[in-house]
Amino acid sequence: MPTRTWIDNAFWENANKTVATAILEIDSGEGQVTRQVLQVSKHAPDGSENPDWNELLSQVPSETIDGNTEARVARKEKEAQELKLKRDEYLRAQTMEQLFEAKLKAFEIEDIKNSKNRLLKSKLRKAKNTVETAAYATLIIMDKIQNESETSE
Amino acid sequence: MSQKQANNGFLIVASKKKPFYISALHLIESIKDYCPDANVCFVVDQSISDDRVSVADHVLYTEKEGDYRAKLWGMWKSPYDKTLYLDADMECVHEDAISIFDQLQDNDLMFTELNKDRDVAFKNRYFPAGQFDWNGGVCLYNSSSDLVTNFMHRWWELFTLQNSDQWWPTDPQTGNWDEVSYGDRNVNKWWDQFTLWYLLNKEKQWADLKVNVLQDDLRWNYYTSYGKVGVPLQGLEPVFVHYSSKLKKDFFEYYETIS
Repeated sequence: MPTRTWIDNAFWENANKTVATAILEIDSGEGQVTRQVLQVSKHAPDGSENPDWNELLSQVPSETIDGNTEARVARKEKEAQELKLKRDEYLRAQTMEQLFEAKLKAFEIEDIKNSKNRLLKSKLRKAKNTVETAAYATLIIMDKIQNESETSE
Repeated sequence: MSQKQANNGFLIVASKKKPFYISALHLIESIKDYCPDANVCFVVDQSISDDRVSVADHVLYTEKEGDYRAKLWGMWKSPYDKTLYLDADMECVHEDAISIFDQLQDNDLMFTELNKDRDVAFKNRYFPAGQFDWNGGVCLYNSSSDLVTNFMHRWWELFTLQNSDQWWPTDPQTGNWDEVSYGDRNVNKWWDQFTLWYLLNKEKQWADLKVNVLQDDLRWNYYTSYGKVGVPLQGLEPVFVHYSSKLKKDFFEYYETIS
């Protein structure tokens, strides 16, 4: 004879507690066990009582589902935070690499390579983003051109 | 009696390729930005250098141009009492850099650690007889000690033999590289880390060397690739950032194109 068991990790899908997600395990009685994840509504579409709902709540008390739902929300929030941290770290790493590459390229521009302006070159090395990098690179080139024109006058 | 100066310094090595030289210059300049009084020794192939080498306090031209691991020769030749070796593809981003020398205390060699979480930054760490535990990208060492200096010389010597197929860990049955214990010859022969492991684990004369991990070691060798796999900095601020990415490789290719 088949038996139906609702696993006790069900959780609410909405704040009104009228829809739950739960796992139903059916044992055929002949050695075959199947599991299904189901969304169970309190009422059927025609407004009548849903027998699955009543069976679920008879096996898994409402308080247990409350606890599962709270734990699940907390877990999901933690996962989202961890994912965000990882994403931020990834983007930070990528930005650092791009910035490093941009600076190395800037320092190979002849006027920058040959500039003696240690202050501006230091600022270029310490630049925090590509806009700052470009700005200081431009200043160094202008400084170099200005020095050259003063020397030639 | 040591002829070395009674001081501490950073040691940077660039050999074989101009992009390493450019990266190394950037690293030296960045150390000077944050620690103007720091001593820096630049070990470099003369053929890839120009007048910008003068940014370093000491310049040592390699005896053998294009040496694959000139770093080991350079580490042996350090002019300082305490030396911090740094890979050329790094950048100093914090004024704490100069404080690294306080960490050495009675240790002989200090490294940053390799571990499972950080495997992303290190290929081929494992082989049947062991695993690499130290990251050779950063090494703080007591370069005034004869034992350490002899070790550095031996490291360079043995790696050179290993890399040129003149020495290998021998399988007594065949006389060939012992692949059962030491893995693929064509992989490990390129790694100075393998030589380091072999010396520390198989040559008894180095048993007294005190080798340790740097405190807050992530700060001193922070690979950008760590950020990509979520190795947490745990609130620490990096001091030396290690760029070991494809982007860097792209820059190297870019440089080859323009030069």
